[in-house]
Amino acid sequence: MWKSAFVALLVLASGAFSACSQDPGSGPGGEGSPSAGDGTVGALTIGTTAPNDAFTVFSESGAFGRMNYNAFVAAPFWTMDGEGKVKPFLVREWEIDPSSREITARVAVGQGISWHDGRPFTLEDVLFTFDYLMTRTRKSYVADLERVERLSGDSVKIVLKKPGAYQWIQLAAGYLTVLPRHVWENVEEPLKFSAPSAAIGCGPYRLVSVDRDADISVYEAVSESYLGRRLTVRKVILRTYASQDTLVMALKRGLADAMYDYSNALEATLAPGLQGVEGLDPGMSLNTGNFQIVYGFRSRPTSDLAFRKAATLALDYELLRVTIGGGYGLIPGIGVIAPPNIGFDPDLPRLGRDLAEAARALDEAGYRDLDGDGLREGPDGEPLEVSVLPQYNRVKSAVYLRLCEIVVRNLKDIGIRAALDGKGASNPDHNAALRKSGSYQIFLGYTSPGMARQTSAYYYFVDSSVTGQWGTCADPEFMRAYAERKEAADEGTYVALTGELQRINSRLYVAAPLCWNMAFFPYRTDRYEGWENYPGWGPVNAGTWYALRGK
Amino acid sequence: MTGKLGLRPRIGAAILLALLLAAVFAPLVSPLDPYEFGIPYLEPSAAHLLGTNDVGQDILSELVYGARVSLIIGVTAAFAVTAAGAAVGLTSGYWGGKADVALMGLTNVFMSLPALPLTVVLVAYLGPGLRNVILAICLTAWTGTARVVRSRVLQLKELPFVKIEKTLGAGPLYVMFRHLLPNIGELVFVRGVLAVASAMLAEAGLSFLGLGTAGAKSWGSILHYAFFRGGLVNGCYWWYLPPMICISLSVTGFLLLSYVGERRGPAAPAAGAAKGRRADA
Repeated sequence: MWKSAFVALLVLASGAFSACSQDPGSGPGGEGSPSAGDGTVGALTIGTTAPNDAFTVFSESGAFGRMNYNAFVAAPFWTMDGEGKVKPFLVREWEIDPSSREITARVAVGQGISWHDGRPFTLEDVLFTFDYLMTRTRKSYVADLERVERLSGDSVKIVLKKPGAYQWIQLAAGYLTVLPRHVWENVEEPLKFSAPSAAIGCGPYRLVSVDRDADISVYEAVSESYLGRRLTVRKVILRTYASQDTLVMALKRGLADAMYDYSNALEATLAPGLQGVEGLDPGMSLNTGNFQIVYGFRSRPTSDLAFRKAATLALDYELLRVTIGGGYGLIPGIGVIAPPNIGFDPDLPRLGRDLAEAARALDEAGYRDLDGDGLREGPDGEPLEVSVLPQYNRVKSAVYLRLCEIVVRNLKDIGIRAALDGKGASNPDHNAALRKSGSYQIFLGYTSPGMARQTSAYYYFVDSSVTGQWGTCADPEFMRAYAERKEAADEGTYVALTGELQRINSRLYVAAPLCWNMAFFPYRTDRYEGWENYPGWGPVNAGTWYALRGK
Repeated sequence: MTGKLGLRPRIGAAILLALLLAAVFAPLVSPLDPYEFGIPYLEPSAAHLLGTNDVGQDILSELVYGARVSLIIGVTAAFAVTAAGAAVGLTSGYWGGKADVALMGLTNVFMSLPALPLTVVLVAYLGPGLRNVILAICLTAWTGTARVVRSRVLQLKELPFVKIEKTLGAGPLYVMFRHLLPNIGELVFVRGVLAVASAMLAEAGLSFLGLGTAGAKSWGSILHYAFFRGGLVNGCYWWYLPPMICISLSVTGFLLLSYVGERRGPAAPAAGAAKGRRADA
């Protein structure tokens, strides 16, 4: 009796010991082998720094919301490939009419897609989604829509207020997802709705569990295939790490398989630590997004062309390149748009520091040092102090503060007194208020890879009356070019007008990129193959679920 | 505080004197302009004795200039905290009654506030900067001194020399400032010295979180960039170790200096030994 009990205890103890000493690569919670043996991926662990705290298909924030940009739990109408080309998803076919105001879309109803609570996905859900978003939200995706109407059992017509169908689809692709009518139709305040049913989508993966203490959420494939494509990743574990440093350590140790952090690619300063690690690819790609300096047109002196030109010429782009991009960045061109994006113009000149030319521009415009203190006064003789506001970003705060320090110092080199807006840098509410009111003078911001691919950085430069963002440039020529581009009916027109915007910027100095940097989204190659590293986006994307294979 | 200093206070004073001299004469002591950009991530060499940071700034020069901010914040905050705490403790302890209840109630309220989160939130909303950092540190740090001073005053006011003064018609302010304050001087001094160390640590913590003195060099801000700009991950020990050593050294200096009062013993002074013009009358 005692002997049996002792043996049983020993077995239990050894089991406990083996559980404690399991291969770290087997994933959190001991899900077993990440590869299912038939080439599929049993459990893919994705590391992020976004919090695992909100699980609603309505929201785009948090780890869950951001993962849905990859056609994950919530299903988008369109997605984008690695080159920024729009690809079908729930909308299987579409046609833009010659006026560029109407889109006829055939939707994948009756093709085996169902909501994650078992109800079928119907055209009613599509119509409901547009109606719901247009009447109860201010999402930018629907701001330009006039109406959406049923054409047949599987087709709808999307009518825009003004021409601009091509640009609208670019904006919606990957971001605009369908909502289940039966869940949301009685929800009056969607942003406050957080019931478990809020996480119901009709994408290829469903949420199965959340461990809030461990900051982990787990998802599983809804079926063998989705929209005719085999889902090779059977299970996804989304794990939040406190910082990018800890995420890198987890990747190195095999505790995570890939990094996904939407626009927050790994800081270039962390990249050297990824080189030469066996089984780990640094996931380097030329970033589609970029850091930029944006001038405020609603206050002096940044509303003055001469000042903007001088400030742009005063910046030390080599130092900015190293600070933002480590040893991997490129000195950018005045056109702002980075090389991987649609509309990139290689013929526009690269930026360079020219203190003499900057000083000449200021002298000619009347910015002179009148009191001999080494700092210039304004043309009216009044003291000049320029405020530099960095974008508020928890992950990128250190690099933003460094960029501010460089800009302040560089401006001092041409006799301009500038200072960091400390309150704006530390207080997100104050920062948002300054941005939204357009009352900043110099704003250091970032165009995320997604927005760069969809609408380009110019979305953040043009006056906020057009976009609802924080741009302040209302120059008539700039506004006209932007409006015409928005109405482009095809890619060729869009590219031509994007080129025009860039040429205007080279004359008006509305904004300037600070660096064209590389994006790093590391991933492990020792257990899987078939990764496709989208430029600026990384290896976790809308194609991952169908392409990844276990080794 | 008369007589020869003990060994510990002397070591503390020597450390602090060295830091003070470095801070005051920073432009002379510092090898380079700490704001001047150069080649990033250089290891220690003859040109840069402690190497360079992520934007090529000389780390030794940053440390020298950083001493200024750390010491200014530490000393100013400590002075304000100690003065406020002593005033509240003295008033509360001497007057007693409703004043005591009110002031100690207020003290208890401030003591119950979570100091660090409150400081972080305050700086975030007021904005970083020397004045706001000092204000945020001061808001909750005075309470300990108030409680300690009050206890001491409660003891002192029962001693004969105070009672005699009262009998002779001395007013409350006269008694407090001429007799009680000199007798709690050492206690206040020690609390003040400890408050400097505490304020310097608080500043370092705030700066490490990116909420320190915006744009100015401080030891905490050096640490902030070392940790958040790849210094730790890439093994740049010359970047993150020196500010840690400086913070530890200066705090140690203040802690050692606080032993200056230990010599005289903890017991309340006898009436004849008490300070003040009328104590031995």
